[in-house]
Amino acid sequence: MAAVSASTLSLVWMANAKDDTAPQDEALMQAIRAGDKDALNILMIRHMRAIYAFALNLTRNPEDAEDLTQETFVRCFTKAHTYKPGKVKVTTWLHTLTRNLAIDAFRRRRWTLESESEEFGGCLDNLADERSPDSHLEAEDREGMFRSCLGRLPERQRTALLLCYHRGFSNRQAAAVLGVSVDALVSLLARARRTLKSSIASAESVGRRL
Amino acid sequence: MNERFESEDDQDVVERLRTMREQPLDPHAAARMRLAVLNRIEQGQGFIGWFLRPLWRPVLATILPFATGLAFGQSDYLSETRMMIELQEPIELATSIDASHNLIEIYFPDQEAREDD
Repeated sequence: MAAVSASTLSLVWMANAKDDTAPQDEALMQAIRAGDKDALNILMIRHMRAIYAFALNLTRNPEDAEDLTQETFVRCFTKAHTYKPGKVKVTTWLHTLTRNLAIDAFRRRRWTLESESEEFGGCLDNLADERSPDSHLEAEDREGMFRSCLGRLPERQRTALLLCYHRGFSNRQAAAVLGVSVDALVSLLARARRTLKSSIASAESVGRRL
Repeated sequence: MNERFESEDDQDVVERLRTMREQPLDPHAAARMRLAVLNRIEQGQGFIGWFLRPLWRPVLATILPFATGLAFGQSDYLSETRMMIELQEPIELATSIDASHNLIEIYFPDQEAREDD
């Protein structure tokens, strides 16, 4: 990975290049294993956004998500030797690290699941939106309620839904992150969809009564 | 292979999950986070950094008080029972400390007067 040593601009270019000159994630992991920090930088430029979004979905708090994202990449560097090339994709491995760290942090700190709607409502304020104020508020309420229901799901069910439908992971990738078989993932997904639907239905019925 | 057996009823939930908006990561925040990661790795690679790795922290926290006690030749300190006592009046003088029995004898200035009473 000698060619990787370059200025930040060229690192960004290398990270985002779509042609054959772009180093593959597996090659970057090999370089990281050898202690190449530029390779880690390229990997971060490429995957940080996705890892942050996943961490935010897990923690529902921007500061915690930032901590988790940083910790994921530090762990990626220090535990690079545990990555098995060809067994799982680098993205899958990074998401597994993030999930494991989130579970550890959750056990230590007991993130509250109920405070989600306020915190996430705040996060979403910055999102650019072309809709009218009324429809915006209505959609925000609807999305806030949906996120709140999603946040109340058991961690495994929530992660399965997020990985498969929101992040577009294949069943195999999501199963690897969750450490279960593909069959187990499919039934976990079915259970998660069922729980989420009934949770949304009861939240909507309460909303109508108010 | 990627079959998920979604029913008609599931489509709404699936669609909402697919189109769920996410907080975009500000490029400045991303750059700051990358720098923080690289700095942490940089620090973690030096000898001091290696020694202060999270794995070592509890070990150091356990060993250091003992090591300090032994280094100053106060091994009794290790078996000392520490107590917090809330005093009703200020102490002026502690006259004797018996470390081998974990005892501390305290004289209050007016103790003799109280005993006489």
